[in-house]
Formats: sequence, structure tokens, C-alpha cells
Amino acid sequence: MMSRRGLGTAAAALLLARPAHAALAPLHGPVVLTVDGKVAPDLTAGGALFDMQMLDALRQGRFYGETPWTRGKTEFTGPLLSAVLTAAGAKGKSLEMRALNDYLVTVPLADAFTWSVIIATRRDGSAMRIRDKGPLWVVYPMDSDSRLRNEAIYARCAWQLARITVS
Amino acid sequence: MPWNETKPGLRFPAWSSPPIVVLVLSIVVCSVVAAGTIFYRLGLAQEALGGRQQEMTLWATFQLDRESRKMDDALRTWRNGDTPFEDVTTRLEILISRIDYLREGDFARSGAFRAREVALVGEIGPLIQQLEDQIGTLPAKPDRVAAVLDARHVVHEIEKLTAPLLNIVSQDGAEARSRIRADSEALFIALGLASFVLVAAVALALAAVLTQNATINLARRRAEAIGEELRRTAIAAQAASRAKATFLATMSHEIRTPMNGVLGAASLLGASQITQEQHRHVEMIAACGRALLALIDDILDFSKLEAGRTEFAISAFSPQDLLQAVADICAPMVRDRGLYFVAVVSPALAPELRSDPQRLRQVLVNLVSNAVKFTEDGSVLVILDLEPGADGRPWLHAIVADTGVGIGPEILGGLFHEFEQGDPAIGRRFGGTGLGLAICKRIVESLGGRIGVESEPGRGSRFWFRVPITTEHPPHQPMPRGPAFVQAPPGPLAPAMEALLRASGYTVTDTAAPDSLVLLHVSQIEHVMPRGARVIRFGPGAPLAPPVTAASLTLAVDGETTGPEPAPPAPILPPMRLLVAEDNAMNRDVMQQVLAAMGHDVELAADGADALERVQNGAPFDAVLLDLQMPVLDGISAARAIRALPPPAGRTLLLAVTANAMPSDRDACLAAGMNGFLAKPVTIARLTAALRELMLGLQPDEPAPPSSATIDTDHRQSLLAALRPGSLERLVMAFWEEIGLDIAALAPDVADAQERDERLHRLAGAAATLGYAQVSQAALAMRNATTPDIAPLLAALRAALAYDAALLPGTMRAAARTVLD
Repeated sequence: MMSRRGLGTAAAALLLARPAHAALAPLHGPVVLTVDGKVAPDLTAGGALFDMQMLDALRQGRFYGETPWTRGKTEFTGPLLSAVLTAAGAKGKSLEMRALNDYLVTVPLADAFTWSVIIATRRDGSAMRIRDKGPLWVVYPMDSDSRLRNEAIYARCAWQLARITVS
Repeated sequence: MPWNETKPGLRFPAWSSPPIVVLVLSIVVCSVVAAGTIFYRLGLAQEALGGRQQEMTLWATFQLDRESRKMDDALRTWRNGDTPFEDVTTRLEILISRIDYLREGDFARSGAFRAREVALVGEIGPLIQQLEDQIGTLPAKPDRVAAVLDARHVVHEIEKLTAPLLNIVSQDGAEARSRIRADSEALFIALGLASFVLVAAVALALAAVLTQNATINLARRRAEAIGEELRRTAIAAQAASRAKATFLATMSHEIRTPMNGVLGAASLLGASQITQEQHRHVEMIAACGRALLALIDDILDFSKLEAGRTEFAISAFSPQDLLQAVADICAPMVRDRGLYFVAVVSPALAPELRSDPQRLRQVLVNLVSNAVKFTEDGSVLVILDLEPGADGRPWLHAIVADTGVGIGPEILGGLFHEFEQGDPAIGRRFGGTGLGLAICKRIVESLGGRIGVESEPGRGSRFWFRVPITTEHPPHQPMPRGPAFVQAPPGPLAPAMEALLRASGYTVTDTAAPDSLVLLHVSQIEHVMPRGARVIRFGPGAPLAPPVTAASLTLAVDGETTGPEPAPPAPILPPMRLLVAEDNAMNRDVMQQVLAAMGHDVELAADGADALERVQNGAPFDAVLLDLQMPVLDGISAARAIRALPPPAGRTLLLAVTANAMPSDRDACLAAGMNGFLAKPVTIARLTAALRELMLGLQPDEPAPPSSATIDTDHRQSLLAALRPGSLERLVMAFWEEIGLDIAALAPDVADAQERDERLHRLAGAAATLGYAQVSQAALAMRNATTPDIAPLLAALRAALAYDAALLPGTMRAAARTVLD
């Protein structure tokens, strides 16, 4: 039997086979997220660029629970990381996530297809300012799985996310 | 030596149990302590996660410090016009997020921040607020350079605070780490110790369990070994017991045979012309012989009971008849000793019970004989009563009480053991084997009952036994017969007579009434009895003489006195008219003389055809004695032919007489219609017994096993007594003369099977008749031989003949030797 991770990888391979990135809409606002590295070859050298509107148009996910950085239960909503990667035509094994403050963390690409990891755009329904650790915050569904409640996963929850480099 | 001293392994050593308890307890305690220690240490470790908090704090502080510098850089590059203003605001936002993180995060609450850190963060907050205000107005300021300078000044103020904050946090972190390391070390040591203690405890427990297992195994093996030893001992004991029983039975038999000869000779001697003095001696011999035979009978009986070979025949019987039979048997000795004897059957007993009456009679007779033997003066009472058992089923309760010498407590216990008597001196004085009570005990116990005795020296004895019985009939209530009164000397006699009266339907009263039946003991003065009372004297010599039973009481009351009973006539065989069919002239001669001596009228026949002719045409015979192997017509064929005749000749009693005492022969005889079977040698006693059984229609007795002596002296004595003087010598002489031809014809290369068989038959018969038992057996063995090689058997026969020949008187011995050579 395939492991959950294996299943996710297989699903990713299947999804990435589709040229989903072709549907990338033109920019309407400031770029909040750049996905570069091993992405769809027909994209510009700067990689896949997303503004808030584009992210909102992708398949959304939701997290409601406790995190080490917030008090009480907090709701985070935003596009699924998998949806973002698919949209960018990402193809690889790991993701290098970079924050505005140059925080850098490397995440296995399979995470996106193993758990419903989201790139949160809203906290309790409101957009997040940079000072509120926004505008984008990677959130793992850490209340659904005890394996996600550890330091390594917390480190992958990069806030003030600005760029994902696929390799 | 007590066995638990020699076999200590059977018991658990005293030390083995408490340590197990102690060990288990110590394991429990150790486990609790270890678990407690581990959990306590884990709690500390949880606290040590504060170390993680320290790291996060250090990281957050470092980020704050770094962002401050980046803020400065961003302001500087914007002033130079190298970057857009958004970069400045972004950096400001990040800076704010960092200070907010430090303020909002749980650093103060979790203890990662101490007072000075909190104070420093508190000082930075307003500065950042001030910076935000200045940056907010920055694009509108005309003097960008001065404004940036102001803003950078604020940033520098912030940096002056973030640098020491970083220092302090770093120091705290180092302290925390060293504390955590120390804690971890302590935790490891504690865990190690706890683990060691646990492992040690488990090891100890394991060792204890193994030790105990080993102890148990050892004990089990020893128990098994002892069990095996006991089993072997039991088998050996059983074998020894069986060997003993077989030995007893064999010895008894071997003693009985010559004893019969002694008794027979004594009876013949007693009947001859001898002096008074010699008569007395002969009587003595006979008495001793009878005593010896009784002893042997007891031993045989006991050994059979011991070996469990005695068969019990459960049948219906009347307790009244049983007790009457006991009274009849014991009456002579009771009278001889002048004792009074009362036998009572309780009316509670049903008229018909089921048990083994023969065995019960044997026990009762034995107990009564004992009682009579040990009672010089007084009475012997026997009571049969009903006693419900614990399960409600009926038991027969028998009591034999006497007024005899009694038994002391020191010998009372061993009384029922074999070969023990009350007192060795008593054995010499009264005789007896000491087996009687042991036999009684075995019989009663074999019937499922118990036997016992109560006695005191000088106060008589009271033997009792109880056996379970079955009965299908309700007890007979006796017919009511009015009041009765007993006057007797103190003792058990009066209650016994009263019990007998009650059992017979009387109402026993304390005083005599005018219409009472008064039983007055001979020792009592005739008191003034009420007018009209019927007085019957009882006791030795009185009208109601012993033995007193329900029947004799009724007889006395109904007007007839019971005088001394005439001794039962000895069973005598009436003179009969007999025919003896026997081919051997010598045997014919012996038979005729023996039977004539018994008073019978004897005719002779030389073969079966002759016998048949005489039965058919002559005057009727009471019985015909048929030898089995005869020329012309053998015994079996003759028997069949006689049975085929019309009555009365066809119903003549037929007795088979043969030396060939094989069971198959016996069966063949009975199948041919013969009525009895007599194995040679023929003695007066056996002939009498066989003829009596024949007349009474009894089952023929088992053929006697051949004697192992070379010459059957018992038989010789009988012959000597029965034959005319000089006859025996003549017959023996004729025997030795005739066998010359037979021996010569027996040589393997000479005789054909038919002739050899006939000669052997004649030889066996003649030898048996004259008491040459070994020769007879050797001839029979040769006849019955299944192997063609008869040479060894012939040699045995010749050896037996030579042995007997050597015993002959001088002249005859010489003649016999000639024949054999």
C-alpha cells in the first residue's frame, strides 16, 4: 500500500501533467508572491507572479485552531499551496520559501500534496499587514495531525512569505 | 526415622516463600519509585522546553536587532535615491512585526523574559512608534536628508537597546542551556538508576521464580520417585500376598490328602477288634486329625477370602430359618456345657431377606461357638434385628452376647486380626486357630458390613455385626398373644427372653397378671404367682430347654415339652443293587470287594455289551458303574445304548468311572446321559460320596487332581481295609506279572498307536486301582502325549515302575525287577 506521501506525490505528478499554468490571469495589483525555479518553461524568467486577486481565485483552504504564534483559536484562509504550485506548473522535490525579512526555509514539495497546507491570505477574515506577519503566511493544518505539531513543521510555517523557489 | 526428615524435598523449604513475597513487594516498590522518578524528570524536561522558548526568544531578538539595522540601511539607500519609498515602509512593517512579536509572544509569560528584558522591550516600543510617525511624514518633508537623519537617529536609539537585549537574551540562553544540560544529565542518571533497579528487581524475581521452579520440580520428581517406589512396593506386596495365598491353598491341600488317609485309617482301625486302651488312642488320633482338618479348612477359607476368590451367593432367606439352623448346629455344644441359649429374631425383620445366608450362618456359628467356648456358666444370646442405615436402607444387625470370661481392653483391639486370640494361653486351653474372627471380619466386610465387639473382663462379651440387606416384603406383625412376665437371674437373660416374647406377639409386663404367661428360670424360687397364670420353667433341664427359639417357645407354650433332641442320624447309603462294568479283571475284583464291604449287592460285566445285555434283560439295577474304555462297547456307547432302552431300564442311574480325568471326558459322559463321574483311584469315601450324590441327584464333584506321591497311601489303606486278607498282595503280584507284556508292547518300534493306547489305558487303570499314582500318571501322560516322540515319556514310566518296584517286599521285588528288565 502506498504511503500517504507517496499518494500525494503521485497526485502531484498527475496534476502537474496538465498545463494548468496556462490559465494564469494577468496581474491586476502588486505582486505578493513569486514562484520561480523549476516552474513551467513558457513563463517569464521571473517565474509565476501572483497578486492577491489571483491567489483568491485559486482553490481555497481553511485552518481553524491554535498555533504557537497566536493566542486562542485563530482562523486562517487562503489558497492551497498545492493549487498555487499547480498554477505555477511547479516540478521538483523541494520548495525554498523566502520571507520578506529574508527568513529562508526548505520544505519538501510533497508536503503540499500530503496535507492541505495553505498560503493564508486572511486571518480571522481580514487581510494581514506586514506588521501582522502578513500578507502571506504558510499554515500547516497542525491541529489535524499530531505529526505536524513539532519544531520542524513550525519552522516551515513561514510568515511574511514573498517567494517560493522550486528545485 | 520420620520420613519428612529423610525426604526434605517433599516439603517446601521454610525460606522459599517469604523471599518471593519480599521480592514481589520490592519489585512493585521499585517500579513505583522508578516510574515516579521518570515522570518527575519528564516534568523537568517539559520545563526544559523553556529552553526552546529561549532559542525562539534569542532568534526573535536577533531578528529585531537585524531588522533595526536593515531599517537604517533602507532609510540610507532611500535618501540616496537608490530605492523606492515602499522599501522603507516594508522594512518598517517588518520591524513593527518583530517588536510586536516580542511583545505579544509568550516570552514574558513563559519566563523566557526576565524583568530587564521586559523593561528593554518596553523602552523599544515607544521608539518604534516614534520612528513610524517620522517615516509616515518623511515623503512630505522638504529636507529629505535632515528628516532621514532624524529617523536614523531614532533607529540608532533602537539599536542601542536591541544590542544589549540580544546580549542579555544570549546570556540567559547560555545559562538556560547549561541548566538544561545539567538537568538532562541528572535525568539520565536518574533514569539509568531506575532502569538498573528495575532490571535488578526483574532479574531477582526471575531468579526467585527459577529457584522456586527448580524446587517444585525437585519436589515433583521426588514425589514421582516415591510414587514409583510405592507402586513397586504395592506390586511386590500383592505378589507376596498372592504367593502366600497360593502357598496356603497348596499346603492345605497337600496336608488334607494325607490327613484324610490318617482319618480313614483311624476309622478302619476303630472298627476293628482292638482293646479299650487302643480305642482311646484311636479316638485321640481321630480327634487330632479332625482338629487339624478344621484348622486347614479355616486357613483355606481365610486364604480364599484374602485373595478375594471367595464368591458370595446372594439369595433370599428367612432370618427365622437362619437362626434356627445356627441354633441346631450349636445345640450339642450348648448342651454339653450346660449353658442357656436364646435366639431371637426381631419382628421388625421381614420374613424374607436377601444376602448370603451361607456366609451369615458361617459368621453366626463362629461367633456362637466362640461365645460357648468362653462361657463357663450362664447364657449365650443371639438377636437378629433390623437397623435402618444412614441412607435409610435396611441393615441386618446381629448380636451374640454371652456371660463368659470377657476380654480385656489390651487384646480387644487385635481380636479380629488373623492368628490372634484373646490370650495365647486360651488358645492352648480352648483350642482353635485364631482365624475364626478374622474370617468373620472378612466375610462381613465383603458383604459391605462392619463387625465389632464390646467386652470387659468378667462381664461377658457382646459381638455384633451389621450387613446391608434388601427385602421386598414388609415385616410380619406377630399375632397378639396376651401379657407375659419373665423371672430370671440378673443379666442379659431376662431381656433376651422378653425380646423373644415380644417377637412372638406377647406384651411383656413388669408384674405378673392372672392371665399372664410366666417364664420362670430354673434358678428362681417359684414366687407366689397370680392364680391362673401359666408358668413355664426355662433353663437347662427345664421344659423350655436350650436352644430357645421362637419355634421352641411356641412348642413349649402349646403344651408339648421339648425333650433332648435325638442326634440327627448319620447319612447312611442304603444297600443297593449295582452293576460294575470293567474290562480289567483285577479292577473288577477290587471294585466288587469294596462295594460288597459297603453292603451293596454287586454284579460284574467284562465290557459294555455285557453291561447293556444285563441292564436290558436282568433284574433292575439301582446304578451302573461304567468304565469308559472297554473292548466291544466302550462306556460312552454303552451309556447311550442304555439311555435308548425303554423305562425303567433306560432310566437306570449311570456313573462313569475312569482314570482319565480330563474335563473333556467328563463333558462327553454327561452328554451321553450319564448321571455322575468318578475319577480313579476309587476309595470307599469317594465311592460313597459319588453314589450318594448320584442317588440324591446332586451335581457330580470336581475330579480330584492326581496325587503327586508315588503311591497313594490313603487309597492303599482303604483297599487294605476293604479287601479280604491277602487279596492286596495277590493283586499287586498279578499287576507286576501282567505289566511285563504291556511294557514290552510299548516300545516305539513295536506297537501301533491303537494297541499302545489300549495297553496304556489298562496300565493306567490297574496302577490307579492299586494306588500306584505316579505310574498311573506317567501312563496317562504318555497316552495324552501330543508329540510322536514318546521315548522320554516311556522312560519316565519305567522310572516310576522301577521306583515302586524297589518298595516291594523281597520276593516280589525280585520278580518285578525281572519283568522290568
